[in-house]
Amino acid sequence: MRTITEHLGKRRLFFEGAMGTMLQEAGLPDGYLPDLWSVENTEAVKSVHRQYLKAGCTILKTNTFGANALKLAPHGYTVAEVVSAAVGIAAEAIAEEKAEAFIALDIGPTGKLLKPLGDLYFEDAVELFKDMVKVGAQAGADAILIETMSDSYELKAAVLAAKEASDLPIFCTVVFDEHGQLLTGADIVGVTAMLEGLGVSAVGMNCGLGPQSMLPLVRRLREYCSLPVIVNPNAGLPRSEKGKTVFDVTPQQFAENMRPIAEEAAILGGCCGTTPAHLKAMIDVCKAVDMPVTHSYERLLVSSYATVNEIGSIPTVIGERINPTGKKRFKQALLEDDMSYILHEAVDQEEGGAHILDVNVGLPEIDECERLPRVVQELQKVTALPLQLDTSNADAMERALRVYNGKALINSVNGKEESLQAILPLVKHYGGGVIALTLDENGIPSTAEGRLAIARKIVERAEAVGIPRREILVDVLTLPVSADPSAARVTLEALRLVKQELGVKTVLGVSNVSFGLPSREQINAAFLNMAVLSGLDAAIINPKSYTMMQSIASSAALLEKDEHFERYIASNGDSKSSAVSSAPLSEVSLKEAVIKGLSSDAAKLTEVELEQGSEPLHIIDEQLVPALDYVGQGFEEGRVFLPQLLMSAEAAKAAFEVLKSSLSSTEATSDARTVVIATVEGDIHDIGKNIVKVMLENYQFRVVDLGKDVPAQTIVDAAVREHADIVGLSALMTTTVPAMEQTIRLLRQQAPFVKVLVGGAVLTEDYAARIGADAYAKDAMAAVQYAKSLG
Amino acid sequence: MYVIKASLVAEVYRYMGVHGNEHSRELEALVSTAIERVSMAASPSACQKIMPVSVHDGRCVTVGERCLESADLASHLEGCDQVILFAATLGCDVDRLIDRDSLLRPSLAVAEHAAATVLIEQFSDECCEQTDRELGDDVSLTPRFSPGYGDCPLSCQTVLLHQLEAYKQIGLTLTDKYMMTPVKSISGWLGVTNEKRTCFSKGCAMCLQRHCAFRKEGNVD
Repeated sequence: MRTITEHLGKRRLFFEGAMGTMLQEAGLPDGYLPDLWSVENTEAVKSVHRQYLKAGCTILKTNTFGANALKLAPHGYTVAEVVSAAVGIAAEAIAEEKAEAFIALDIGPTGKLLKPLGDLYFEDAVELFKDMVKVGAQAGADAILIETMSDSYELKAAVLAAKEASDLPIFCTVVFDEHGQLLTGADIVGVTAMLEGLGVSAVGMNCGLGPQSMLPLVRRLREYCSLPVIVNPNAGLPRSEKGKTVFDVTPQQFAENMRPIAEEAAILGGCCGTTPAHLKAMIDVCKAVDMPVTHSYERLLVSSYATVNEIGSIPTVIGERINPTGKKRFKQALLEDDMSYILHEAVDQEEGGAHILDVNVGLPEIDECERLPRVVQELQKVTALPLQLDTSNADAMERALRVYNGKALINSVNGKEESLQAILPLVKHYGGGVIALTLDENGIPSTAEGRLAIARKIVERAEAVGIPRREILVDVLTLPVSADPSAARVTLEALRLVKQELGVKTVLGVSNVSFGLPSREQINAAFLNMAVLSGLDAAIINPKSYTMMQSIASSAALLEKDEHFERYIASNGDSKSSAVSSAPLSEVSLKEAVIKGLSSDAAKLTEVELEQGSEPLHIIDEQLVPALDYVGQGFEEGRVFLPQLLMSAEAAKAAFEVLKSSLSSTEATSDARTVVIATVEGDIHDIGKNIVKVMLENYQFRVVDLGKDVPAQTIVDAAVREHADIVGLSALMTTTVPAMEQTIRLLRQQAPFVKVLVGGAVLTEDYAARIGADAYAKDAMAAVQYAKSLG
Repeated sequence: MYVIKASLVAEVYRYMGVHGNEHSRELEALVSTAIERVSMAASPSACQKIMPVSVHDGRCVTVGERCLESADLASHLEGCDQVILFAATLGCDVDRLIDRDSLLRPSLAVAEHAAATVLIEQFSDECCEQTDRELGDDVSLTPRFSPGYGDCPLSCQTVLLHQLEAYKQIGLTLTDKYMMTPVKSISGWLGVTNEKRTCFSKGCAMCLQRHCAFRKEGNVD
C-alpha cells in the first residue's frame, strides 16, 4: 500500500465522522472523557471505526482527541496507555474490515488558553503535544491530525511538537466562525500563511459550522492555500433539546451540501453530529466529483495572531524605530530594560501607518537570546502588527521565532556560507518570510550584477532545502551617495535586475542613502519614490516621518497601487490632525496640566520650559512633584478618584520622558531605589499592580515589573539580581494568597535584605502580617507612602 | 456592536471607585473612550444548558451526575428540580485591549476594566431574562449564583464549565487556580422553580463581602 503522502492531492481521501457522538449513542455517560474508552471499552470504539470503514472512509481518526496529560491525569491514566491503545484499536478495525485505510493520530486542543491570555506556557503546550505524538508515531500512526484548534498560538505549539517528535505528515484543521476567524482573532489568510510556513501537508477546517456555512470559507481558503484542503463540518449547527445537543442536517442534506465543497477540497469528512450514514451518503455523492487542482501562489504573507500582510500588494511599510543604532534614548531604554519605552515606540509606529515592525535589540551589553524573545512577546501584547525579527545572532533568532505568535519576517540571511547554514534551517522549521542581503564573504559587490549573483545564490540554496522562492525578500542594500555618487543608481539597477531575473519580492532600508548629507529626509523621499518605481515591495522607514509616509503614499497612488486613492487620502488626513495637535497650548501651567491629567500638554509645556532655560531638576521640584503631591493628597482625602490620580501620573510621566533626554544618566538614576513588583503565581488579575507601578515610577522609584502569574523563585531571583529595596506583591483571589505566602517565605530565605509590601482585594492589615509581609498597602498612594518612608 | 445602556453608565463610574455625579470633562472623556473601545473589542457570547438538580442534607447539590458541596448553593436551589447552567464571555479581545492599555495608559485601562465588567453583567442579565421569558409564566428563575459566592468554592467552576462544554461552546477556559479566561466572563447556576418566589436577594445583597469597596450604597445588609 502507498503512503498517505503519495495519495495526497491525487486521490480523494475521506476522514471518518464524529467519534464522541457515536460513543454517546453507545452509552458513554454525559460529560465522561471519550478517550478513556480506548482503554475501558475498546470494542465500542472499534465498532465505530468499523462502521466508518464500511461507509467508505479512508482515514481513521484515533479516539485520542483529549488524550493529553492535562486531561488524563485526573483519571489516573497515562498518555502512553491511552494513545497506544487507541492507535491499536484503529489498526485492528482496519485489519478486521480488510480495508485500505490510514490512521491519523487525532490531537485536539488542551482546553486551556496559552499565555498571555491564559496560564499555560507555550513550551508546556509543546511538551503536552509531543508526549502524544511520540506514542502515536511509535504505535504506528500514518499521519498526525491536529484538529478543532481555535487559537493560532496553540496550533503553532501542536505543529512544532508534531514536527519535532516525528516525521509523519501533519494535517491541520481549525474552527472558524462564520466570518472566517478563530476565537483568538486570526483569519483564514493568517492561519493558512502560518501553517504553510510551518510546512504542514494539508490545511482545512472542522467543527463549529455545518457544510453550507463552510462553503464560502473554503473558497476563501483556496485563494490563499497551495496545499490540499480538508473539510470536516458538523451536521449543521447544534441546538439544545431537553438538555441534549442535537444536529438537524440529515445524511442526504449533508451529502448534497458537501458536493460543491468537494470541488474545492481534496479531503472530506465529518465532525460533531455526523454518523456513518452521513459519511456514506457523502462519499457516494462526492467520490464522483473531480479532484480539485491545487494552485501554487506567489504571495509572500506574514502574520501575527490577528493580522496578515501581503508584502508588496501595496508598498509595505516596515517600521525601523525599534533599533538602538544611532538612537541614544533607545539605547538607554534597552540598558535600563525599560520595556514601556519600546512598547510606546511600537504603538507610535502603528499609529503612523506601519504595516510591519522591525525588532532589533542588539547591544554588546545585552544578552539577545534572553531579550529578543521577551521583547517579541511583550510587543505582541500591545500590537497586532506582524513583526520582523532582526538579529545576527542565530540562537536569539530561533528563540524569538519559536515564541512568535504567527508567521514572522526574518531579518536576515546573506550570501555568507555561515549565514546560509545558520538561518535557512530556521526558516524551514519555523516558517517565515526571509530577507536576503546581497553581501557575502567578499562584502557588498559594487555592481548591480554582483548583487544579483548573490541574490540568485541565496534563492537557489533556499529552494534546495525546500523554502519556496515566494518566501524570499531580497535587499540589494542602500549605500550612502556621499561616499559613492553612483551608490543610489547601482542599488536601483540591482533592484530592477533582481525583480526581473528572479521574480522575488524586494525590500530596502532607504535612510542610509542620505548619510552625511543635510536635509536627509528630502533625499530619502526622492530615493524611496525611485525605488518604488523600480519595483520595491517593502520599505524599511520611519513611519513617524510625515515626509516619508507622504512619499510612499504618493508613489503608490501614481503607480496604481492604491485603489480609490484610499491610502493617499488617509495620509493627508493625518497631516490635518497633526496640524491641530500642534496648535498653541491652552493657558495652563505645567503644574496645572499634570493636575488635570493632560499628557500631551504636559509634554509640550515641559519642552517649552526647557527651551526657556529651566533646569530639569528645577522643573521636577517646582512643578511636577508639587502637582503629584497635590493630586495624591486629594486622593487620600477622597476628593480625587483613582482614574484621575492615574491621569495625572501619566501626564507627569510624559513630562519626565521629555526631561529624561536632557538629564544626564547619573542625575536620572543615581539615588533611585528599586522596587520589584509582581502578581503572584496563579493570579492573572494585575490591574492593581499596574497602578502601583505607575505611581511608584512617578515618585522616581526604579520599578522592575515581572508581570502576572509569576513563580516565587522568579520573583526571588529578580530581587537578588536587581538588589531590590522593596518587593511588591499582589493577589486578588483567596486561592492565590498561599502563593503570596510561599513567595514571602522564599524571599526571607534568599533575599533577607528586601522589604515586602503586599496588596490586593482579599488582603487586610492583619492578613498581611500573618503571611509575613512587612507592610500592607490599601491602595497605590499607600504603597508610595510606604516606599517613601523607607528613606 | 454591543453597547452599554445609558442607564448603566453610572455603574462604570462606581466600579472605577468614583463617587458623586459631577465629573470633570477629562474624566468623562476617559470613560466615553473606554466604553467605546470595549464595545468595539467585545464579541459577547453565551451558552446554557438545563439539567436536573436535587439538594440533599442542606449542603449537597447534585447537578446531573455531579455532586457539589455548598450549603449556600443548596439553599439557593432549595425547591428547584431543574437548574440552568450559564456562562458568558466578552471574548479575548477585551482582555487584550485591557492588557495593552495597562501597559500604555493605565488610567484608560482602569476605565475599560469597569466598562467591560458592566458590559458582561448587562449581557448576562439580558440572556438570563430572555431564558426566563422563554420558559413561560409557570416557572421562574432564581438569580444567578456563581462559584465563589458564599461557601461555594471556586473549584466548582471546573464542574460547571465542563458540564456546559464552555470551552467548545464559547471558548471559555479555566486556569489552574480556577479563574476564567477570557477574564471578562460570568458563569453560574439559575434554579428553575415553580414557586413564585419574589424575595430573592440579588447582586450586592447576596454577597458576603460586606466591606467591599464597590458595594452599592443602600445595600449594606
